[in-house]
Amino acid sequence: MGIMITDIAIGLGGLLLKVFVIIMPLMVALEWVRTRHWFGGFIRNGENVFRPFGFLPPAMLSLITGLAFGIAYGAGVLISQSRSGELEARQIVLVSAFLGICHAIVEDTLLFAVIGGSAWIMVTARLLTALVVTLVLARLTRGPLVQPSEAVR
Amino acid sequence: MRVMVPVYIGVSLLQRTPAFQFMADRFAPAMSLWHLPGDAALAMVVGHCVNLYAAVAVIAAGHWDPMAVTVAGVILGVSHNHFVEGAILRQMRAPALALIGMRITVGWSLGWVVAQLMNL
Repeated sequence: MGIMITDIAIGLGGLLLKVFVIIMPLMVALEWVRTRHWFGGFIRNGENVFRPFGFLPPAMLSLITGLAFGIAYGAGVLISQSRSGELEARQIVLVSAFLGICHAIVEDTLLFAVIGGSAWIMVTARLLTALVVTLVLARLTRGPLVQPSEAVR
Repeated sequence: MRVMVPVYIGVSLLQRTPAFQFMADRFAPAMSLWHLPGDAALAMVVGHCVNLYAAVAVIAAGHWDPMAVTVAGVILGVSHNHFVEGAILRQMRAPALALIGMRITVGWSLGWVVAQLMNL
């Protein structure tokens, strides 16, 4: 009984310590990055990377916020951009499909990495799959969805 | 984060009960397709319905090997927290149900591929 409690306490203490020491500072750093002026430049550069996958420049803010911070944490940006009309219907579908598969890339990956998972396998698998799925969706919806009448303006 | 403490303690205690082992043994054959242990079924349910912190607490309590953690990280990385994230997708006026279905399908498929590649 005593050994069991000690085992659980040590295991739990180790897990919490790893999460605190590794994940918390990175989340704080990421929050700091978001407030820097060069984060805007980073988002603009993203256009060149993501354009071939069907994304238009207005989608970059939601896409990079979600990719870095996650759907729940980036919800403010995601919802306001979708509802304000900045994003047309097709862009909302592409952004949400991409982010559905691959978001909060730092936090989600580190959580599993601190308990022994391979970070590069998890990141590569999710990122590549999100890009492929979005590319396929973009090709499939190229026809009617890009008509101006479909754009939510 | 706060969810990790009760989940870890709860699962650590449950693991020592015959009922938990019985359930884990029932799920073991299905989970082994992904090279995951039987208690992965619990981690998957928790991850899909609650969040990754809770799922990681379940996995940590089970002391899995790194390959299994990676496979679970791929499946759950893609497909998790569907109640909260689904609500946000709906708020975005995105096709939330279709996206949840897509994430579950993609997550488990991708996890299977990664599991096969890692266990060649």
